[in-house]
Amino acid sequence: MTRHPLLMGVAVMDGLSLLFLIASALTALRILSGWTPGSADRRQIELETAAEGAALHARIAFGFFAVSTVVLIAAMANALPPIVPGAMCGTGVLQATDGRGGRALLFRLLGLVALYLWRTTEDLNRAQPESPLAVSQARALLLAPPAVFLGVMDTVRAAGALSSHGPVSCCAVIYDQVRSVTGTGRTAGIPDGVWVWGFVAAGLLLLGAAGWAAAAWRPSRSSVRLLAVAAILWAPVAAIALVRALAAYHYGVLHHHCPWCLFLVDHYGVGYPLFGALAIIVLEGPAAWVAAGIGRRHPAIAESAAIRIRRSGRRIVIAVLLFFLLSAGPAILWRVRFGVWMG
Amino acid sequence: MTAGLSCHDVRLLRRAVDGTERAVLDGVDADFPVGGISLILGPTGAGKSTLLHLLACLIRPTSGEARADGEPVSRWITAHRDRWRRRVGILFQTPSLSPDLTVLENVMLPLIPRGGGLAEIRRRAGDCLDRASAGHLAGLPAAILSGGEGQRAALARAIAAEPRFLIADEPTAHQDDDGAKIVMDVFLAERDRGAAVIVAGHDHRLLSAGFADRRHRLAAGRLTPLP
Repeated sequence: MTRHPLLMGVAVMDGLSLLFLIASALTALRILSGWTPGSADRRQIELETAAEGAALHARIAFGFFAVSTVVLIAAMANALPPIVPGAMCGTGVLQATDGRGGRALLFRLLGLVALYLWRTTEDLNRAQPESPLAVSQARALLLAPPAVFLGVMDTVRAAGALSSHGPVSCCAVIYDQVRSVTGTGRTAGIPDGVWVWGFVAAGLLLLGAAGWAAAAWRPSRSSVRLLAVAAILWAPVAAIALVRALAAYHYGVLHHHCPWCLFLVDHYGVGYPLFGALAIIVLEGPAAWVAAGIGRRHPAIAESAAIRIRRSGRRIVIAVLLFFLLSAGPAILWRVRFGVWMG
Repeated sequence: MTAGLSCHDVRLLRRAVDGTERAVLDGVDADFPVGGISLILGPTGAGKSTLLHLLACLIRPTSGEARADGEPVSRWITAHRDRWRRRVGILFQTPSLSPDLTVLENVMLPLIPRGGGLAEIRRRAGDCLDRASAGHLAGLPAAILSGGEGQRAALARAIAAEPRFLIADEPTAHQDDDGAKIVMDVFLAERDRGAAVIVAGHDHRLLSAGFADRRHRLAAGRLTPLP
């Protein structure tokens, strides 16, 4: 067990996040069991007051959980490698957690997506004075606690398993991937070049869909669906293309397929904006889809939903452009400078 | 739909230290239409201020609802209630002026979020002070005003934004007879402008002046119309 101050901070924020989330989830259960907007009896009025409090609690929980996740990533990428023998970046730290760290990050991402979708519903609910989405909002909120709980538990287990005595082999994890010459340039059996071209082509498609959503007065249902699907599918393709091919231009080394080294100071912490942009895309695509669905079912909220979709479109455009700039930019500079691509 | 403020089966319970609940308001039903002055009379502690706070949606009822122009405002999400309250002018029992500001600045305050040039805001605030016979106090710090002066300055602040609903709690409590007449004249002018004016108090001058279009008596948590 490593009692690093950043891990302690993560633990405190996670604890607070869970407390606020449980409090709001209990109210969400009450809303699901007895929300009667047509009645003005004592129980309903109390529930309406509690619903406002629960929304505030859930927002606080979301804030704590998002900040604690960023702090956890910063700890794994930058603070913990020096105290884990053999670790030079987050890959070594993850190795030292017996796989629990990776699972914690996955559950955290799921929890953040669930909370972000809840927040999208909540923002649209607040657009109208009479809480027309109270029940949908309660349902959306109840998706988050399991993922957040599992994320927190795995974080605690990962921190408990983290040893500053047992050495790890950070580079072995990376270079084991390229031991065989045939496996060097392929991921999931697909050549890395195809991933890169897929990344560029799908990125342009996503850019077009996001640009359309950002500009259209009332984006159509099919265009928003395309945006959401493209965003969710593009993010892993972009991550693979980045790690397998484009990161080489940041490292200046051909076969160093490590995502975590991008977070190091040596590489100007470029991993933060790169993976941050991917996170924005993964969050905003489904958020636009949720907004479109709500706008269709509740005509009174259609205008607010359209505004929300346009906002998602704008954010995705900015995130995709940022990702292109920081991932493909160094490769293009290299090509211009030396006249060849790496590898 | 009723144009104005209304209460529908409003109950407000308060919990005592021993855990028992007391009904401050118990099934209040009433309409306070626009273009009229409604007077709520009752003894001290009857719940008049509470009812006014409830009509201004500063507090939520335990059950029932307060409506504005037919909309159940008391049940709205806080942000919407706060926005709606821009249409309400409130004269609290105590003037609640910012002591570090001048009287004019106090009256200008509610106009600032509504936009408009500073000169126009200053002019409107000055007009309102003149209507409340407090124009001569404009440059004085609010901290040094007497009770009656403070109350008239607060009245000017309440009417500055031309509210649709004007709610006044014991507006003549600190006024001499001349001051009380000034206050009641302002209410009449606001009524003629088309506002719903709701006044609560136990000052006999309010009743004897005969300026109210509707009179109610609040006692034991119940509101009953007076002839």
